[in-house]
Amino acid sequence: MTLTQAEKAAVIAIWAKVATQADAIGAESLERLFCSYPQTKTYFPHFDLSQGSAQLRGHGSKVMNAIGEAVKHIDDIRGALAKLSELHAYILRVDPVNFKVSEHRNFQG
Amino acid sequence: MVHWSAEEKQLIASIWSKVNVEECGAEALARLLIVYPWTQRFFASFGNLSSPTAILGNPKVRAHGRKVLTSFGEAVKNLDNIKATYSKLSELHCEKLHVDPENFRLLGDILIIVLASHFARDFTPACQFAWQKLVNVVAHALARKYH
Repeated sequence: MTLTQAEKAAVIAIWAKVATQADAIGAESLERLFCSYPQTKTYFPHFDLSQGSAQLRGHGSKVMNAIGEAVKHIDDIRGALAKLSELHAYILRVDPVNFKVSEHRNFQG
Repeated sequence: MVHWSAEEKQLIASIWSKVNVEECGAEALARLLIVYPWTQRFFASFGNLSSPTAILGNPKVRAHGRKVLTSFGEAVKNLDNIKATYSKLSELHCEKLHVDPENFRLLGDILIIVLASHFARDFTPACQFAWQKLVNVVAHALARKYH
């Protein structure tokens, strides 16, 4: 699955705007992730997950930077994220179901 | 509330009556750790998990596998009230153990494979259907109290 030239251009254009507010967007994204999918919190028992926490902001920035790297290397996203993939697989050991954008199973009663 | 037909209940009970909880439990947990190695993240204190052979022979894995499958037996005994049966365990897995509920689905599917390999032809498609339904209900119940 690859992006067309038009899609790549669109991503790059949007990201240029996103990047100007990367930290805020990153933190809010994580907040929303933990709110909508509470099971994702199981990977952060060591974090203060309250709104505006320094850890949330810091981690949000980290995630946004990584996405930025992928955008910078949009012709080889797999290569750009290879090390992160290994980190998540072998060190962090996050279940890959959490990387899917859709198909998230929502467990709310 | 989940509806079980009389046939489904009978198929579940019939297979369960022949299950060696210690052996099946041990094998299911070992397979989980081998086939989905990231699940080892919860078992740093279990000692040697360095190879399939090590995992299969690991006494802590075997003991814990037995514990887990014994608990599964509670679902079989309380088919009409699985939600309540696992309410406290759900809270425990969320608040203390921090286990991603995806692991419950993975283990459920592994259990189906273990049952199929033990019971061969006796694990008919109808059996598989009933058991797949059961593991899905158990996984859902265990995830239900996550917050």
